[in-house]
Amino acid sequence: MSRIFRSPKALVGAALIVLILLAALLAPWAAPHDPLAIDPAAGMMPPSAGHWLGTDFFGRDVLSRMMWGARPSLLIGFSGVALGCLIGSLLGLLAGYFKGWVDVAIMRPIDMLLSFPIVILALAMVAALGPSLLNLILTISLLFVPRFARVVRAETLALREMDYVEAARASGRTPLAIIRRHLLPNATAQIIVTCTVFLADAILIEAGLSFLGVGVTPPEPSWGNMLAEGRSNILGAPWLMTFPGLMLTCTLVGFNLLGDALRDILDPRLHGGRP
Amino acid sequence: MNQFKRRDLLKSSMAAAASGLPAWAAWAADEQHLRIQSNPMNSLDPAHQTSAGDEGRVAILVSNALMRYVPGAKYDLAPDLATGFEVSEGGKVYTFRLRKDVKWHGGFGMFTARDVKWSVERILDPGTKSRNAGQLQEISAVEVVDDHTVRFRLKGPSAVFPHALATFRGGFMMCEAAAKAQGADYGRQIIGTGPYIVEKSVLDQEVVLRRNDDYFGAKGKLDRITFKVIREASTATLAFDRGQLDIVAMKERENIDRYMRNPKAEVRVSDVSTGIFLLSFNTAKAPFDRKEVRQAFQHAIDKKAIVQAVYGQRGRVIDTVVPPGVEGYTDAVRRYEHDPARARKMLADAGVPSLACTLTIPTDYQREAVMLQAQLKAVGVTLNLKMIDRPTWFRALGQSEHDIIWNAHFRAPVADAFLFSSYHSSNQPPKGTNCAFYAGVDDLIDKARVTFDDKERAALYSEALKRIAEDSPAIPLTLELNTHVVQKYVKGLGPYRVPENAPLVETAYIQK
Amino acid sequence: MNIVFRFLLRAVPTLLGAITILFLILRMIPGDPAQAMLGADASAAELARLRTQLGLDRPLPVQYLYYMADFLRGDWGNSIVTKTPVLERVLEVLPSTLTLCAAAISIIVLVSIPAGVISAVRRDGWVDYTVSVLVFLLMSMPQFWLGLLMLLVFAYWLDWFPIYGAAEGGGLLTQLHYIALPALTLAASFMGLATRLTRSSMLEVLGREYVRTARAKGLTEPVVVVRHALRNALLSVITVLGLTVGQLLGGAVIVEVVFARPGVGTMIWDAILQRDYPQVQAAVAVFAGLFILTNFLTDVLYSALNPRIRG
Repeated sequence: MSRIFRSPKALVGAALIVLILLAALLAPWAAPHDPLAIDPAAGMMPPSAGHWLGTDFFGRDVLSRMMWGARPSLLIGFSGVALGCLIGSLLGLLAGYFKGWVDVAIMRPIDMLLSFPIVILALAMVAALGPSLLNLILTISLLFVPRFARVVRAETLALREMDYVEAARASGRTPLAIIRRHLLPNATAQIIVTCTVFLADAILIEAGLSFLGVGVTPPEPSWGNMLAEGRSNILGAPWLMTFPGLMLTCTLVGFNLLGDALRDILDPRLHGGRP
Repeated sequence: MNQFKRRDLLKSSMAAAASGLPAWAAWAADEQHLRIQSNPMNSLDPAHQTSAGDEGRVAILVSNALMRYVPGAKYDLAPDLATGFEVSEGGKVYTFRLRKDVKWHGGFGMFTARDVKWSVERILDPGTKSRNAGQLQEISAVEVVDDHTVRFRLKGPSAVFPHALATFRGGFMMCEAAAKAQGADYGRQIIGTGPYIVEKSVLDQEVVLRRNDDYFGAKGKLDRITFKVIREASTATLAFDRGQLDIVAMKERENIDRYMRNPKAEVRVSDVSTGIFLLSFNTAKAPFDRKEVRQAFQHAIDKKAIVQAVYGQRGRVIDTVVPPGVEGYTDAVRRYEHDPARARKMLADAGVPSLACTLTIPTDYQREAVMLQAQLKAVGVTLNLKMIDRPTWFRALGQSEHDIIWNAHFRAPVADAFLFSSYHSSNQPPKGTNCAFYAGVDDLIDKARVTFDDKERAALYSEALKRIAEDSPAIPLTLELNTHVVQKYVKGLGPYRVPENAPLVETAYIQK
Repeated sequence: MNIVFRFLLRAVPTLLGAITILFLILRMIPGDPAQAMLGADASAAELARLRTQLGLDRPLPVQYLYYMADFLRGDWGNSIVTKTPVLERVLEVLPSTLTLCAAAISIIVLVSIPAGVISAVRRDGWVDYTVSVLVFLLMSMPQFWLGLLMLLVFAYWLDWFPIYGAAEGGGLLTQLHYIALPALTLAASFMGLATRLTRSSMLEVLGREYVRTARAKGLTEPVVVVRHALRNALLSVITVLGLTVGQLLGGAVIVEVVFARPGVGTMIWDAILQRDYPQVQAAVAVFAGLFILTNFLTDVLYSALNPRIRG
């Protein structure tokens, strides 16, 4: 654990994430303006003293909208990955440990889902279910269940060949106990790393869906739909696209850095495992 | 003559060398080639055309119909392939006389009445699965009287039948011989009779046309016209600014404003429109079954502010459910001043001082939605937004779940087309798209359909408009005036024409 | 032969399963093709007539059975919108998408592998550091944003590249000119992964026994690097590249729309908007097929490399 604090990558990554989280959590108090307040007369103004990052078409403050916009993006990303992780990891553990027909029964539908390009599946699902917050979370989690399953299964397959697992089996422990005491703790590291990396993807996907118009519905701000609104004014009001994009990029950099650092730290121990 | 040409060539190659282009490119750039941005097209086959705008723009250059719309604000019909027609048997039989000098492209011979019969029957044939069969549904039989005379027998008398055979989707004429020869390719390599010939057609990428020097009417000045499919509006804008496109459609008010200040571009706003945007109430659902509530909304909404902010040049406030220029239009209807105080009072009197309701609206109209939300909030109404995509919206228009729904009427410029499907009780969902569930003008609509005297018919429609404005089953907001941005060196562009809602390109030419 | 048989045994049900899932999801989406075609003003009578023509009024299981029966025979139906065979349409535009992906892969390989090698060899030097920073930045930028930014900077301001489309005819140079920006945008997100992987694989191999032996034998450093280390590291890299091909296909959708390039991506996008079920199904079937194929090849490679997983 202490190694995290010694790694500059992890620190920078974590710092970025914490900053963004703070901005999102404190938005109701820290944001300078109401993100939904319209003032068409002050529309499309470049950055100024009153509006540090400018205003959009309706005169809404870009900075405030960016801070508030962090909330749905982060919420959907976290919840989607958490749910996907829970279900996917469980499936992966079962498939990897029991192998045989359990493996086939679980992985075949997983393979089917994996063969869809993410964009297509996400589009179709949101179109079918409707863009409510819950449905977006469900869609994102559905996208990640197969991916978690695959990773955890691969990890379980490697772990179960370990000597101490053989020993536990030989001494008559139930599969449930083995999974719980030996496999799960050792797979956890890999799962955490995977979560961090997938978080970045999930936030990106949510932004993409909002960008395409099937994510968070306006006028609620989300980084994705802010980018969509800014797209049509790329020449006339470039700040509308630039700042939300930068913020999104920074968030993703944070998660990627942290995930990478975690992977470096936990790497040597991944295939060793504790007996 | 030779010296002149040589000097010009020398001049242009020197200019080209100076600007860094190879000489041959500069000379080629002087060719009369117009490049127009387009949305994706699905089919140019009249049986399967879906978009009067995108596909219609190409179709009207390549094909003809029996009648065509005269460009300008009056939506009159003029003969195109026909030279005239006679009505008999009380409006049940129409006999058209056809031109004798019309040649099909590609050497497929002359246009005759047999082509008309074949075109119409093909669209009506269930085996073709044509989506435009509804346009010709009044026809019960087509007869070839002789090579240049064709007779239509209708199921019932109709005063408005010629519009079905105008330059709109299913009205374009097809060449029987060509369709048979090409089979499934016909939708792409359309053989028509128009001033331009299809040279290359990859419908979701581009369509290239070249001039038809055998055209029976006035020949075009452009050698080539390319319709380039670009989905992404910002990409199109960038390409226009870099001189890679000549005509681009523009929707955002701030972009239109920007181009109005640009000396190299010209903004052309349509002066005709067959498109209205409105809000339809579900009058079968409380509290919108009460006239006072609907009228209160009329007072709460500031149409001018919405049009100014969101549409700019592209919109014009409207208070009737039928656009100006259409027969029967009148502006002597009740108008509702923007009066939030009055709206509040009316809502309180009606017993709903703080109403919460939902507006079902497609994502394309976000900006309008946001403004409506703010305006209604000011009178105590909480407007929730349900944003959906277009096909979902089409479906919602035929159902009864909405409180208020965004509506767009883009129809042929005939009053009946606007009124019958949207305000006649026989078209209430699920049978049709009268999603306001209105039944207040049935008598007027029915009578007008069989009134052959133009003046009388117009009076009936005006009366209907007045009643609708009073009852307010819908709030008309604005006309949509298509807007295009055009390079200054494109000259001779004609006025806008319906139903493509695009400027006339047949008379255009390039002069740099 | 055994391998091919095993592949088919796995791939075919997977593909069919994917198609079935898509079939169901598509029909859950509100609004059907008849509605999308007829637009806002359709009367119920017109809709009903069109639905019957299109066979949409039959019960869902019946529709499914008819569709699957035809699908297995190779008849994937006609596009509801253009009335032309869907498979033909997909195959027409597929080369464009594949070219884009191939160009992106080329860029990834040409840039990432040398970058990864240098980073590993000169570990913790300034090259390593700069590369890492760049890699992270690229990986973290949303593709649609990056695409528009590149358009703005390289095509518009600098006028180095054309703004839209694909080159018709023209020599190799013209083709490259048109494909450069879209390919770069598509490659950007994956360059990071490839670089990092090359680097870590190289690092791992460079530390191994036989490399030290080679060094001890007196072979010069470059020889050690190229002959032993690189060749082994490349195997892992290829594995990961195999995985990214699937994601590349997905990313191609976005890039095609932003850069107005023809391809399977824009086709699927339009088809979903128009509820053109047969078209979406055909395009996704082709995509999924390619994806399954590359995944399988990747799995084979992975098993070959890691003996612990075999069996």
